[in-house]
Amino acid sequence: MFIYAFTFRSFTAAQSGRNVLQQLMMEALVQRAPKNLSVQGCGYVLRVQAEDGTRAAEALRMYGVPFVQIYRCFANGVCQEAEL
Amino acid sequence: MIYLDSAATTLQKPPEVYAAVKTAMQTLASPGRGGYAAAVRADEAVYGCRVLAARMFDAKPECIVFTMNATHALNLAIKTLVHRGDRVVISGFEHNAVVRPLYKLGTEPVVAGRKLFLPEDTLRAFDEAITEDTKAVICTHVSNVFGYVLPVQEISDICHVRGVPFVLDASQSAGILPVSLRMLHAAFVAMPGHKGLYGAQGTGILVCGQLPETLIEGGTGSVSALMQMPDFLPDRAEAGTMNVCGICALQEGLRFVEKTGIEAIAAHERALQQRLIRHLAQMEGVRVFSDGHDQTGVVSFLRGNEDCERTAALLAERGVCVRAGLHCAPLAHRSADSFDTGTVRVSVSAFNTEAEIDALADILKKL
Repeated sequence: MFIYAFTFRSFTAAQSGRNVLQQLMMEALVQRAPKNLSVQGCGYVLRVQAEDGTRAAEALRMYGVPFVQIYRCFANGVCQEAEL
Repeated sequence: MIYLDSAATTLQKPPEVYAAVKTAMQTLASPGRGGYAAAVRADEAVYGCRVLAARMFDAKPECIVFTMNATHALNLAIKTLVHRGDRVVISGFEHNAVVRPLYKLGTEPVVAGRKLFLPEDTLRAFDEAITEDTKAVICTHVSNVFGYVLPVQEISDICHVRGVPFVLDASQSAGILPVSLRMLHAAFVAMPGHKGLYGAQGTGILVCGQLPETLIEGGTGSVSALMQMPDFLPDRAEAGTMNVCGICALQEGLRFVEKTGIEAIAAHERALQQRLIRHLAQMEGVRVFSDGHDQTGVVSFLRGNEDCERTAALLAERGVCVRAGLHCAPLAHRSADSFDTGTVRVSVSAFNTEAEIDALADILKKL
C-alpha cells in the first residue's frame, strides 16, 4: 500500500492543486512535507490515493499547478521518486 | 450618527465581518507555519480569502498578495516597475499613495488627463503621453476626491498594445465597479480591504500579473533553507506573520460584496449620489463637483466661501461624518482647480440610506 505525494514549494499552490483535484472528485490532502522531501526547507505535499496518481498528475499539469516532484510513499515512511 | 466617509473607510460592515475577527483571534494560529489544527485552520481561512478575491478580480489565487493597505500594495507595484529617472505616466487624479513613492524614487511623473469628468480628454491625453520608452502607467480607477470614473480599460488597452506595464489603483472601485486583472492585462492592481470590500483596516490586496520585487524580506513558511525570498507568488511579497484576523474579516467582506452584487451596490450608491446632487443643486451658493454620469458615490462640494474644514466641523457637531481638505490627493485638487480651497467630500456605502442623504441636506440648509 502506498500513496502519491506531490511536493510543492508554495503552500498556496498546494492548496490550489488540492482544489483542482477535489473538483475532479479525487481525495487530496495538503500537509507539510517530510524534511527529506523538502530540500529547500519548509515544503508541502499533496497526498492522493495510489489509484488517482496518474489522473492527478495529468490534472495538475493541465491546470498549470506547479508541483516539484512526485513520490510514492509507503506506510513505513519510505518515499521513492515516481514518474507519472 | 450619519457616516458619509466611506471613501476613507467603510465604518458600517456586515455583522459577519466583526464576528470573523473575534473567531480568528480565538481559534487561528499562523498560516504556513505548522501542521497542527489551529495552523491548518489559519491556512484554510487565508486561502479561502485568496479564492474569493481571485474570483472577484479575475486572477488565480496565487496572484493575490495580502498587504497592509492599498498604499503598501501600490508601493510594491511601483518599486517593482519604476527606477530613478524612468518615464512614468499617471493621471491628474492620483493619490499621494502613487505620487509620493514616485518622487521618493526620483521620478517626476508625466501627468496626463487633468480635466474632471471628461473621459475622452483623459484618454486622448494618455494616448499622447504613453511612449514606447514609458516604464509604467499608473492610473486610479476612480478619483477619491470627486468620484470621477476614469476610462481605465481603454488606457490599459493602449498600454497593452505598446508593451507598457499598467498599474491600476482600485482603491475607490474595488467592490463598486468590475475590476479584472485579465481584461486589463495589468501588471498589478492595488486596493484596500477596508473600503468597498468591507474588511478591516490594515488589510489590502495586490493582484499580481507579474512577480513583484520585495519591499521587506523575512520568513514565509516556504523554502526556508534559502537566504533569498521565494521567487514565486504569493510568498515573495508576504514576509512575516500575516494579518490573519484582518484577512478573515476581509473574506467576509468579499462574501458580502459577492452576495449583494457589485452592480447592485453601484446602483445603490449612484442613486444616493444623484439624490445628494439634486439637493445640493437647489442650495444657493453651493458649488458641486459633478457631472452625474462618470461618477461613483463620491461627491465633493463647497458652500460659498466657507472654509471646507468649517463646513465639515459644523456637520460633525450635528453627527454627520464627512471629510474635508485635500484628501491626500493634492494633484487631483490642482487638476480640478480646488487646491486652494479643498473640498467637502461626501462618500456613501451600501449601508447608507436615502433618509440619511435627506437628513444631510436638511442640516446643510439650516447651517
